Amino acid sequence: MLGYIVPDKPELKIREYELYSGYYCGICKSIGRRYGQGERLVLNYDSVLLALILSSLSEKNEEVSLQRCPVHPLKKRLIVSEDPGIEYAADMMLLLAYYKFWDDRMDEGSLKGFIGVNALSGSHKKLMKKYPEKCIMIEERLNALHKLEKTGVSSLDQAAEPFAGIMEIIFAEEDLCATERNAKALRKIGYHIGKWIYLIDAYDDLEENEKTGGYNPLLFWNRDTEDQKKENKARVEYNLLFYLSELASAWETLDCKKNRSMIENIIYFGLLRKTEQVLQKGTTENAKSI
Amino acid sequence: MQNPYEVLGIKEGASKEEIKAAYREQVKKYHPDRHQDNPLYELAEEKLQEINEAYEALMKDPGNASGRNYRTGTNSGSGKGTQDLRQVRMYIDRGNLAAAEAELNRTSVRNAEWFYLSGMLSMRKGWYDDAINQVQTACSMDPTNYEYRNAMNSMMQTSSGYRTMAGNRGYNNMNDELCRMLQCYCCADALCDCF
Repeated sequence: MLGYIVPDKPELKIREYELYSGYYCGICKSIGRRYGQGERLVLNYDSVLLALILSSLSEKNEEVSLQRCPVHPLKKRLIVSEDPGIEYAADMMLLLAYYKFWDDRMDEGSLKGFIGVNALSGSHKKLMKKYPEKCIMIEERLNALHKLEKTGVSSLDQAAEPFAGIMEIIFAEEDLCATERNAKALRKIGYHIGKWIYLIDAYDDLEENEKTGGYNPLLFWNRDTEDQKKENKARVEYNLLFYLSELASAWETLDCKKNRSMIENIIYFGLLRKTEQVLQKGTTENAKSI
Repeated sequence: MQNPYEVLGIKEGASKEEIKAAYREQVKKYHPDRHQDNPLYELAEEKLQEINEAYEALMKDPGNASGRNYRTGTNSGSGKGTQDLRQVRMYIDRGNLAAAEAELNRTSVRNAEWFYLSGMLSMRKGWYDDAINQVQTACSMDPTNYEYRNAMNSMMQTSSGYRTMAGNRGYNNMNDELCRMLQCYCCADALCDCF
């Protein structure tokens, strides 16, 4: 599910790439400082977009420094110091990671889920205190998702709704966006990113789910002949691009004050590249850590 | 119901093509999207409703829709179903999605318009897969309806529009280019080893 939201690296300027990595490391440091070193393992790229967008709402330039990091001991790296956007994105990523384990545990009673929930339970307590409403709403949606999966709902939109709702909650950061319009745009971005991740993941996992019998709304579509498969692919493409189109139009209404080209690299190039990769090959390797 | 020809601003006995053209023009003029945040909004909404009805009446039965049948100016029993759907349309335009959904579920007729409106509702909810399926059904039930076809085209355009936007910003399908780049890189690397 994770690691789909990445920039289109060849089209980034070197300085943008450095700053992007700086945000990534900044989020990692922020987690390490506030929650513990083990928690840093849950780091992924998806959160960088959130941090970038939130930080772009303020005119203030990032404070950067060169620091060493235990993961890469040899070379000093550019790190963006903590700001409210980074801190929030880090919190949300940890929250998502916890609930991913929570969901795994609920699904199959998987060992990984159990271990994950236990390992992150301390951090979750802290987060629960900081964002009680968000936690409750996310849990509600996960329960709804679980129910839908159990009853085997065949509508793609219905199946994707809880996860899209979760991402909407994740993106709904009200303190940093000065206006109601910004808040609305952020929620819309979150909702559509959620739908996009859900569908791209479902399409990516289709063959695996077919073999193992896991739930996947796309398994309800007719897929006997090559023609039908082609049709399904076109339908998936229509939906994925529709989400991105709506996401982009929400982005255009946001008061972005800095890093525009970098964020647009992700929104217009990175997400499209990923979409095409998944549609073409069926499977892709997700990005590895920097 | 008013004289549909008058509503669309055409002569009685106009051909189907003329009716379609006039309808298109009127819809463009009164589309609620053009009057958002503007005092004319509700008026435009009402007007659009009239236009849709007039168009429907004429397309269904162009020969019979002579002015005489419509002079009364009041609703001449267009059936409970259509009445409810008009309400649904209003709810959707005003963004009251829950009411629209309840009303749709309550309506017993499942005609092309019902599917079209379900599609519009799904669209507003962000359920684009449902939306296009419903509108597709509406189109196949009533292939001549311009409104349904128009809605479907605009959905397809929204979806493909993103790729166009990305292209305008310089997105390139770099499969070939990347291969070439990698080749050059390998050659250059090999050269370095020589020295």
